[in-house]
Amino acid sequence: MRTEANGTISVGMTLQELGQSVISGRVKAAELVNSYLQRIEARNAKINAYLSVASEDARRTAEDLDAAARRGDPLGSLAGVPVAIKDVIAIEGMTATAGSRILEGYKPPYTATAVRRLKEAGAVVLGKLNCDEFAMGSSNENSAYGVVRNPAALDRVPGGSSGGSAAAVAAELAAATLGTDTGGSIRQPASFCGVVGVLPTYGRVSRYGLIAFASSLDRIGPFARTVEDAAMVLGVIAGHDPLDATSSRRPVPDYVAECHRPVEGLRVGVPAEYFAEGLDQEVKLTVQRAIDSLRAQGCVITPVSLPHTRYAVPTYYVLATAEASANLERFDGVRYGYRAPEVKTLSDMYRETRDRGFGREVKRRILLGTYVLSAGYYDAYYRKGQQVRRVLAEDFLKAFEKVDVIVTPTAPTPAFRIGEKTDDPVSMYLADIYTVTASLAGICGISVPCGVSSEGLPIGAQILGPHFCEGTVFRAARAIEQGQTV
Amino acid sequence: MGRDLNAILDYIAQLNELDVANVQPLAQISEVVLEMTPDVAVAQVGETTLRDDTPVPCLERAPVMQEAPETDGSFFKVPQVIGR
Repeated sequence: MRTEANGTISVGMTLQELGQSVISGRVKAAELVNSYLQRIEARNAKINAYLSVASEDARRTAEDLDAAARRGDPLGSLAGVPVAIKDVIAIEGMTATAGSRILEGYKPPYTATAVRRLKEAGAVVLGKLNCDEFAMGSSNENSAYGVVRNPAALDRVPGGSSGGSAAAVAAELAAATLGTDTGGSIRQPASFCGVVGVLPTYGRVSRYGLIAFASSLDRIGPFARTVEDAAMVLGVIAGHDPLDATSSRRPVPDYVAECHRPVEGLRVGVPAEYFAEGLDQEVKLTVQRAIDSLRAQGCVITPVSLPHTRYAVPTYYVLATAEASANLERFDGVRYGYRAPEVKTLSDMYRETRDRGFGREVKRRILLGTYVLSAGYYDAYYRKGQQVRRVLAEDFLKAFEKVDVIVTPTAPTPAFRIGEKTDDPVSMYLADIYTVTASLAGICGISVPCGVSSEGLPIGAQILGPHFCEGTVFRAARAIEQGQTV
Repeated sequence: MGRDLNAILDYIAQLNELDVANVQPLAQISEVVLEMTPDVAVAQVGETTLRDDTPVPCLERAPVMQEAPETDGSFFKVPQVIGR
């Protein structure tokens, strides 16, 4: 066992090895959890990744696991693995703010299926992670609880909306985390922070317990330091759930085994539309080097075309805001969360609660969503958006007739500076230009680190695969990861 | 806020370049995943079949009411509805 100078026992071990070590008693879950809690204590004030830390619960759970290991009781594959969860995902008895004032102090009375599965596998939840309010944002600057800072450069954003989830893994404040992705909110922060982030196929992971933003697009997925670790976590949280009517009944493959299969002969598509104007030159060259390394490992690189790519961001901002405007109606000060005090009538209470409870970007999106759904504009915006969504999905289906996976940059630039884009919503929305396409098409993807800029900022490559082909995506991602270390 | 919304609507207007008059709107990706990527095993049970319509346990009232801003334990209380 390697014990690094920073005191984190897990560094250099895969999650699988870590779980096995706890089961065999070679590593004590209590020591492991304590070392992470100490790191959180020392570093979180600077990074602001955690909104709440469940120290006592985590220590008690870890001690119970160690006792069970001593008795020789059967333990799950993630026994003792310290994880943390984006604050839009419900865990019974822990606050779930969704990064919003309107849910300050709210403790859901139930636990999300993805988290329940992690706990059943023995993972220990350390706490809840900061994010853009209701997962709306690309920089984490929309959190009501302050911006998360990028561990690679503290004056930079971590990306968003799952900025806390990415930063926590990058700063080793958790061994793995869960985030959510509606238009890029897992992949883009993974790219900015230099960690692995997975967008599972729509329906692969249950959304039960996820505070809804845009239900036809929302997905839960893992962040981890390596592709194998991310594959391990996805294998635990994936699978059918009767509590989510859109969750698929397809069997869950062994993703860890899949990620170790060789890539020789794998057909890799490169879409010209993702390497055009607006792409940072260093990002372009770094991702091209990753593609070269796939070629060197025996992949067949083929140009493909996704001709409607430029329409993806406007389509997304019609459909996602329309769904958000409906989903966020539930925050009315009646059943949970914040209620504006000292109001006389019911309608004043609704108005004041929502005006004081929601932040600027959330209000902007609710207004846009109600506008595109309004009687006179429905066909021009919402129906049109749904039609273009089908065209975008068909672009991918045609491309996947020729190739097994598609490789692109995850984001057009490395992490930008805090405050750099806050005055211009459209320029902020363009940070998602390469990620929203897969969100709309429902396909799976991953962001895997593939290098750093001259300023030392992480750069990610995005790999996209057809529906339910996560195994192939992991395989290609691991090849890029291995290509780095060779 | 008005300036932001106008800028976003101007940006969204580029969708008008596309002629999609003959394209069926797509509301939910799972409705088409099966026809897009046929899978025999899944085709037999359906991609996302609904469960049987039988009652199952749901959340207890007490922990739900605990989160309400104002409650008498059984109902949510709200300010006066009809003003005078």
